[in-house]
Amino acid sequence: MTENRSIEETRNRFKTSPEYTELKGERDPFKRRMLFLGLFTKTLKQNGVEAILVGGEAIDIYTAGTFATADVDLVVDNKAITEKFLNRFGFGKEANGLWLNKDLIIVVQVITNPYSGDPEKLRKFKVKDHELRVAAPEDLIQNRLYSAKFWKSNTQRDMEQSIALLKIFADSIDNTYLDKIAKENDIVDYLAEARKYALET
Amino acid sequence: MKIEMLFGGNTRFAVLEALANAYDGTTAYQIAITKGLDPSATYRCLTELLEFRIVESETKERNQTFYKLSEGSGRAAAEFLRSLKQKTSESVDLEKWMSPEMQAERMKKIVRFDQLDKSKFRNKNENQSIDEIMSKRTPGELSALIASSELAFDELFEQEDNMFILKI
Repeated sequence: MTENRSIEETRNRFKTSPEYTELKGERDPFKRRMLFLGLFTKTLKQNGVEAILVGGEAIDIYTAGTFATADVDLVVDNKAITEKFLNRFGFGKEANGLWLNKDLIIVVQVITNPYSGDPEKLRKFKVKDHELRVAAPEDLIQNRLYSAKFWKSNTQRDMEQSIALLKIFADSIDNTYLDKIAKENDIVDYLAEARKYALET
Repeated sequence: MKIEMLFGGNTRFAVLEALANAYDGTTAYQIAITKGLDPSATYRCLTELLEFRIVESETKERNQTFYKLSEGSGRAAAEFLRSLKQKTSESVDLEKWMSPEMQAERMKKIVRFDQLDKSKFRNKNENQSIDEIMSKRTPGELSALIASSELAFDELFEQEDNMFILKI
């Protein structure tokens, strides 16, 4: 009971803080998500939790919101602390395990599996005074092509996002690394198709 | 005996459990992520369950495939899972649960899956080629989207060394 009251008080304090007011006042959903990510991962870092942005929101950042996504996938090394702070940030846990903040219209998926990409290749973004670590384009391409080939939940989206990343990062992509992870994940054929489209596009 | 074994293993048990909690349907990606399953194993499992009509699939907006338990056998499987979990939490002997008498009782409720036309339940998009999928956009549409992404990215971020800084 006391703990619930404490969480409620912390939530209310946060909702009246300048940071939350700025978040809520940001009308552009893409910028609002970026501001939230900067503030949230900074809070996690201050509490000893490392977070990496992966999945659709990472692609969303690289494509500046053109290939918008529904949720924010965060790989963290401590689920309990992350969920505690999501709660304080006004998020509620939905039946499907996702965290939703109805004021900010942001959905977060907490992933506790170890980061599957190469940590050395993470790209860094600065949002205000905080550094946000984002999955590398190479690892996102691998992830999307794997999804296109084996999950088939949305092949068009997966292929288009892979092609966009190949095209946008054509000058900086580590093709040796990409070929290696494509081979390991049995998606060499899909990578060849995506490269073909990236050249034609 | 672990109750997961009654469903043919951990993956199938976890997939059924996820589907039992998702009345409006869910994607293979969501199931794999929330249950911590191997993606390809999740997809294979869903394909099997589709074949046996335990699961139905529907392609919704943005070409996403959603899976949910079928009204008949799927819901029966979920009910079975629920009752089994309830029984195990009440410490009912699983050997008794597996006894011929109880098996016979459950068999009366089971649908003959092998008599169904499985082709009706396959994902219609499954065998589409990449070229077919990619032809859904009008010519030049994807190029324009990618070009606008690059422009918008340059407007939103400035690069300093290896860091992209959000301009606010």
